[in-house]
Amino acid sequence: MSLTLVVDPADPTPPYEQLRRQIVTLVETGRLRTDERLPPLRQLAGDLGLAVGTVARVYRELEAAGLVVSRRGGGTRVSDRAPTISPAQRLEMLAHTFVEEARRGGSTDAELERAVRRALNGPSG
Amino acid sequence: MFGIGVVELLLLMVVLGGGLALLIVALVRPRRTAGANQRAVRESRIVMTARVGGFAAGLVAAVTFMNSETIFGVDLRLGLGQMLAPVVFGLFSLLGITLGELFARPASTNGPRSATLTPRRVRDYLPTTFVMAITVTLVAAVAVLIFTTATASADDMGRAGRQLSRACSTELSSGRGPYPGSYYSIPLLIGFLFSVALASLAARQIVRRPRGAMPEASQDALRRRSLAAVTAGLGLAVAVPLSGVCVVASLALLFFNCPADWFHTVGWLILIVGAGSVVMSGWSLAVLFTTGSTVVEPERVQSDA
Repeated sequence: MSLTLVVDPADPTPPYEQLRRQIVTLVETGRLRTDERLPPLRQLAGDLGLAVGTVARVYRELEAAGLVVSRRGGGTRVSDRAPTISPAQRLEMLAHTFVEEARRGGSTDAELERAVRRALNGPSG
Repeated sequence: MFGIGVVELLLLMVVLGGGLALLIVALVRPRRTAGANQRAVRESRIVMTARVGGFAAGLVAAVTFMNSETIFGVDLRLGLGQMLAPVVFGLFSLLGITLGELFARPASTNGPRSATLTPRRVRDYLPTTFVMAITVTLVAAVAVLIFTTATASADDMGRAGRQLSRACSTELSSGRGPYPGSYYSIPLLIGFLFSVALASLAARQIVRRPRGAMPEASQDALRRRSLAAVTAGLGLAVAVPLSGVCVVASLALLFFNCPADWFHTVGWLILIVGAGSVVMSGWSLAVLFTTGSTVVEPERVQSDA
């Protein structure tokens, strides 16, 4: 099954950051495996309707973070030194972030649980 | 030559060009199509229209080459125009396909845009068996032309690479022409080189073309069809002239007055290569007409995939 990236122009997060986050998640969770090749800049930029420079910036940052390596003529591949976490670990991290943010906003644990249930039963759940 | 002058040719080009322009306007004009499909239909129409336009322009150019004595200062007499006509047809066809893929830029949608993380590679979309057959044909064409160039001599008018000559005895020498020496082989090899370069460019362009409004499976099917047309164009550009070269070369070798020992063996071998290239020409034509003659509706493409 091929992995898909989505960029939403209506999202206030800049397209560059949307793209970077998605690739980071795919690499960290191992869905993009070591040495797997990323699409060429022009292909990805064309498909997502972004400037080539925007995608190039994402690739550069991923390379600086040690997640991917670029070789002349060999394209951009997932680095064998990219840090990975299991899906369970990632879920734990997301849950912690969510709980911290919600508590900081003044929500009680009961409200928090109800919000999660509503989200699970919602249209995207 | 053939009783057609420059004025008639220009008239033919104007008539064909006008017809083509009308065809493009009719096909590209937006129609009342079911909502979201409209853009996708238009996109596939542009690809197909440019392809048909390339074929039509190729036909006009090929006819022009066959009936002209010189074009841009290049002397096309003594059958050179006829030999180059299929190469010219192939080049124009490839150009049409490339332009279609360049112009068919899908309009970006207002909503979220998606992309797969799988790199698109030319080899994933190529018809493997057909491409292997074209590669063999191309290698055979280069081998035959190198051989005929190496064995050809100047004709009685002193034009290099036009006939097969051999000293039959110390006093007598014999020659037979036309023979595909450098007079024919160099322009043909240059034509092959251009064809391969243009086909490679077209293939790259087809694979790089951004995703449009069509679903991924339909996009892939359209890319496969376009690449099949590119390879068929290349197949025609190589196989048709090779058939002519083989017939002319084998006739000269088989019916030589005082042949060397190897003349008949090589003559038959070249004739077999010629028969193979005729088959290849038919195959290329079949691929071209089954992939390039109709406008592809997204629904049809999807059902093909």
